[in-house]
Amino acid sequence: MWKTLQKKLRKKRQFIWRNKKANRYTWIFFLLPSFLGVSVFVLLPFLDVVRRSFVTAVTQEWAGVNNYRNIFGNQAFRLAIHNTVRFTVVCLPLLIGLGLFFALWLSRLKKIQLIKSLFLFPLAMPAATVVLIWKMLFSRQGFLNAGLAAIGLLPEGILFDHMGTGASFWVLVFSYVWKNLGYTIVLWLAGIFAVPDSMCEAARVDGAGEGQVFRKIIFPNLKSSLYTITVLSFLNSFKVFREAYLVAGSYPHEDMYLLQHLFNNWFVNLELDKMAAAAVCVGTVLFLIILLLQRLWRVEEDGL
Amino acid sequence: MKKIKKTLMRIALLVTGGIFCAPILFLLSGSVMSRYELTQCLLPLVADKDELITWTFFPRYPTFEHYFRILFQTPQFFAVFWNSMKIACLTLAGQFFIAVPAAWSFAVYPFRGRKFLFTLYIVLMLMPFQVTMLSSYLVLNDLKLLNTHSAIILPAVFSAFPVFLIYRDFCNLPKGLIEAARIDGAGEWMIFWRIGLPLASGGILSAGVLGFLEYWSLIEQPMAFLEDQTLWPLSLYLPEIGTGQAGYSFVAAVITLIPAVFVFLAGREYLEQGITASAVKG
Amino acid sequence: MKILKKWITLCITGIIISSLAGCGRSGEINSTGDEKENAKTNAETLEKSMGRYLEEELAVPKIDGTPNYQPDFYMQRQDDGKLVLVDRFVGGYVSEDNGESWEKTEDSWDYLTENNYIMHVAFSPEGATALVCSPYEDEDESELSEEETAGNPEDAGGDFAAEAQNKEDAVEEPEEDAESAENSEIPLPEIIYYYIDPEGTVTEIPFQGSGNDFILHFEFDRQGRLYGYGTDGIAYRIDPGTGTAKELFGVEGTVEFVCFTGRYMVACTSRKAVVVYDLEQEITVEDKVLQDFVKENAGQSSDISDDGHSMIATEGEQADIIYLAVSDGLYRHVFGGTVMEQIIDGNMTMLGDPSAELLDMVMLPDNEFLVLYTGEKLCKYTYDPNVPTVPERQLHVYSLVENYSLRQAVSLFQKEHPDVYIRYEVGMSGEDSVTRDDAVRKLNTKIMAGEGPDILLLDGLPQTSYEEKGVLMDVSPVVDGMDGEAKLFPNVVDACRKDGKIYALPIRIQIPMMVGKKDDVEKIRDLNSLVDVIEAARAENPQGALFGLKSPEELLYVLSLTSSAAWMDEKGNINEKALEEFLTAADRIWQAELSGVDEEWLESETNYGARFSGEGMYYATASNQALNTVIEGQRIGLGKVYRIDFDYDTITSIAGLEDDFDYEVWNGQVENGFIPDGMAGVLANSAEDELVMEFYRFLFGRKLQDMDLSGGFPVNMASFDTFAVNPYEDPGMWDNFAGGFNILNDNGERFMINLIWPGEEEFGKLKEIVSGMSVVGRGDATIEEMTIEVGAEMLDGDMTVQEAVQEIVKRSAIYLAE
Repeated sequence: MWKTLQKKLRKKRQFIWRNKKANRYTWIFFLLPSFLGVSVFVLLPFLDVVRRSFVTAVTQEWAGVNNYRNIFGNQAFRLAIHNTVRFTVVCLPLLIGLGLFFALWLSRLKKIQLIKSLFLFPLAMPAATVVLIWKMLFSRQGFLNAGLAAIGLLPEGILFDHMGTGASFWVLVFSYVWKNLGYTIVLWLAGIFAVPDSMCEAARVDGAGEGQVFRKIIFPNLKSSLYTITVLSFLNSFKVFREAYLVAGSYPHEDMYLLQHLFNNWFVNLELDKMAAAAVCVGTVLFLIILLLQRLWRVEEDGL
Repeated sequence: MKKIKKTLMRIALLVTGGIFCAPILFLLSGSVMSRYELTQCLLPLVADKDELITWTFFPRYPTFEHYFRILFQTPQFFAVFWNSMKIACLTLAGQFFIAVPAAWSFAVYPFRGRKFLFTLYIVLMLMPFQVTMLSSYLVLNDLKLLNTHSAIILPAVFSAFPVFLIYRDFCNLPKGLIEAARIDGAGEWMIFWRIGLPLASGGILSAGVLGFLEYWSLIEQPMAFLEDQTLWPLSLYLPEIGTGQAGYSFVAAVITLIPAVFVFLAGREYLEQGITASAVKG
Repeated sequence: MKILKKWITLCITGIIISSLAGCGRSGEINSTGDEKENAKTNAETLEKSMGRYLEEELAVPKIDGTPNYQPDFYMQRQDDGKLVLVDRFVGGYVSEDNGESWEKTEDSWDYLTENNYIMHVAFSPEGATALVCSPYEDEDESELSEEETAGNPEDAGGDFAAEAQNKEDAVEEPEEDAESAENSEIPLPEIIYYYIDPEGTVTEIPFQGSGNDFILHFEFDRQGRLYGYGTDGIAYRIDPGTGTAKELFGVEGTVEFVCFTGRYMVACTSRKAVVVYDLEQEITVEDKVLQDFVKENAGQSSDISDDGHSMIATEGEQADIIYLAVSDGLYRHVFGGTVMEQIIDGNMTMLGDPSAELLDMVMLPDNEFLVLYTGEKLCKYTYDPNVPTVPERQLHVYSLVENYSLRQAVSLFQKEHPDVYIRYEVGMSGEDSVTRDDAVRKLNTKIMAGEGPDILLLDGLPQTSYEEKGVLMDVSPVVDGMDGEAKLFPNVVDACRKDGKIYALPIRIQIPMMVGKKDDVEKIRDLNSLVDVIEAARAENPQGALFGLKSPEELLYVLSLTSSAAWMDEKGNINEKALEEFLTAADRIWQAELSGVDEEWLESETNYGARFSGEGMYYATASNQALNTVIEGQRIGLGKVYRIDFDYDTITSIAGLEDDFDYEVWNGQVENGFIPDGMAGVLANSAEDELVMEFYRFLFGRKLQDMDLSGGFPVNMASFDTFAVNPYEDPGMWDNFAGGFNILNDNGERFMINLIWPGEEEFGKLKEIVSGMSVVGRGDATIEEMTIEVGAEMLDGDMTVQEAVQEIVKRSAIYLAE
């Protein structure tokens, strides 16, 4: 018996050792194709952008940190940053919070397939159609005004173009939430279901109220979900530009003017140096934010 | 009491969900309206008058004329539809072979610089397209890929988005399982193929569904990289609305919706299954 | 659940299959597109490949007859192998040597022309003739049908000549003629059809059209059977003896051009569609490839004259092969086949020349072609296998929207340099939903990648940015060197100079002008005086249209023509005061106009206008406004003037006929500002290329500038002077006759105005004005757009002038800050 055990242990050590050696380099094979591709198609262009941030737009002469100095003093840049930050700060918590809210409700019910599908539907709509619907809803002649008038909230004879005023910001927020709520709910639900029922039951038996159950038990286990959802929502918040652009064009109302509008317009006017400098800035900020998120929620990176 | 509360919640949620889907109703009803009715309804919007537009959800003279026009009289439509399909499917296939292994490597193997590399992936993923448009164009130009579908497919295949999604799924796999497999003598590839994939299939499929939806409605990349209009995808083809074109545009939108909806309906079950499965197992 | 899953899988499979089916079909289309693209890209990229059709211009027979008449020839091969050229007025010509030389024939229908107005003549391959005629009435203008006067100025002139010689004043006051005032219906002419057999016997074809429809034109097929095509769009086969007609098919619109092969009849309609009719089986057949091709490509020629056809065709070597010519090129197609093969590239030949419309074509033995164009041009195309398919030297030119002058320049230049291939790229073709921003971004990407054009028109492009970034070359050394024949108006050149450098120069310029009563015209010196005059005029006439601009946008657009450059100062900041002044003026003018005009009438006009958009649709031409002052009783007219023919001469003619009418250059906030059309610049990268500079100089050389381009007046001084001469010079008419108008206004009144080419004095005035232009009148396009948009809202009553100014400043702040 001792011998068999030793044999097994040796085998195990051998295997572990061999596998550890294998382990050291196998990851390369898995990662390599992706890494190569990303380097060529994603990283390389970005590095070119970094290079461009230090030279002039067309003639490509060295310009040092001129471009950076330029953009920080640039009013349009400041406005775009302000709006983008404002949008993110408003939308993200709204979406995440709402998603959690609905997910909690749904988690209590059974047979929720249909409801989930209904919420997920907006994801499938093509942008051009969404734009059309928004026009029908929010322009001066749109249904929102019709509804407001029916309720009596609209002063006689005046129609608002919701896209052309500060309200446009809220239209964008609405559009964003509408589109992404479904998937957020699904992700939260997954997270919620991951929490073993037994723990909740035990807590309830011990006399904890629903709110306490949530705060003390469910929520702490949702951290990794929160991280994923935040990153995804962040990503999707940039996508809202497409609708904004299709509805209001290159120079929308002040409050709708996002970073991408600025980039678009800079490109039209060949202000490539400013574009590059701004891109590098944005990239650095994003990098820092992600690091921060990881730190905040102490997401485990060790994996398996 | 609880039951009533639950039923109320259910109803409330259903109603909210219904409101979410309201635009689809617009689409459907609009696509069968005759040109005349559409003009009537939408004239104030197009002519920028001071009236409100109207809408009839059950048009008085329903007609399939727009459908006929698109399906039978516009040959470009099929070409364009096929382009979209090609781009979306090829991209998804490529992503499967590239992104899944990459996610596996990030999740399973603790190598140096993993954190940094992964964060880099995320940051690159978050960059809006306009930023790198010119540089990507130049790179693609050098690679002689411009004006072909590869110019869109290849960069999309190497997108970090699926890596990110699937990584999470792989992270949730029970560690013990993999260790046990190793001890039993399974090679890394086998572990990946036989254990990792099946268990994360839900996540992979959900990444697939999301990916399809995304690539089915790409706009910026085809606009920038595809010169030849015969190569354009459906999403670029939806024309701007004009009274004469509104019906046409609605129908095109409905048809654009259909594959997305199907993929989404088919994948939906896996969406839930997969995610909950890996979660429950834990 | 399982059943649901099954259904879903089934449906998905169904979708995939159907999309594959679509792929199949699209495969066809793609192959068509690909073929075409391949033919083209083959032509472009395989520079080593040899063989190309060369164009040779042949002599067209000298025409006897009135010089002002454009013969509407068609060309046909007869059974005896000879070629005939036939025109209804000029007669027939025959060639026995495949088009090299032509002789006049005896026309069998000569005697008919005495008493009949010939509307159409058709020849059969055996030599028979069929005619559509309308017997002449007694000369009385009121009974001339609209068709005749509209279609034939010469004929109308003929009658007018007799009349005008008796009257001093050729402008008619509204006629008290009961007929035309009460009947808005125009009395139909009587139509008679004749058939002349090969021996010469003349018989009448007793064909009866239904109702008001009649045969527009006859055609014979290769077997000599007669066909007629009616105004109702129906094609008939007619027996000349009995007049019995069999209906073959009907089309939307009318049949414009017909071609017969041994087996098929191909009929092109006025609605860019084509019908293929199988003569043997006597049914229409579908040829989707051909029909799609025609829908996409026909009718791309310019709309200056409507004499020619948008596409023409002829039979090929066999009964089921057809050759088709459009401005894009000459294509070969097998009926039922999947391919339209490009044989000849339109760009390199007269096919692509926008001023040459297609009339007819014939295929010669040995795969040669003869194509007939308007302007009496006949070209022979011969295949030369020793010439490279695409010329070695290439040029790339670009404009955001199609520019006629540039298109013409490309065509002319290529004709002179057959070893050069010019690729003319248009950013926004207008057919797809590409926005201006998208097009500019695409262009910029190309420029940055080194694939930009050599020469581009900066209209609509961010010129200032390009200048600042060093994209454009400074052409002042070249321009300043232009002397003698090539000398340009120095004031125009200087207006385009910035800091001593010239980056772009307009190929043509337009002048803003005002027309109206003498007193008014004298008083209007700038924008504010315009407002005063209008308000005073309104005080005088409380009712009636003052200046006939029907919508706020239109008003703002027209006013901005002479003011927008004043809204920005040199540093690139908005001049708020100027904006305020502009908007206040616009407001006052609009209020003055509204107070005397019926709300309903304005509504109906705006509804009509709502179907159009974009500045192209605004009829902001001074000549149009001038006509309105006479016809509609409008008080003041403002607009652009861009040529003499039917534009400036309208104004001068009216001035000559009316007592209280004057015209002057119109100044707004900008004084002496001209409107450039086609600002041509050279890319810095291409500055070294000799060929590029040669083309650039060509743009301003005599050859191009002498032509009557629709974009505006020439900037080449010598060319400008050539326009003093009346091109319609005709000894039969009175001096300087240059066309005429015959217009029916809303009240049923008829006006006839004869145009007289400007004499020395008038021409001198124009030249003075042009020489006095000192500034580029149009300012920044984006600011202009914003102003018009916000201004329209303001005029609609949604905001005050102050608010509007603030709004514009706010919106443009972002634009300027970027």
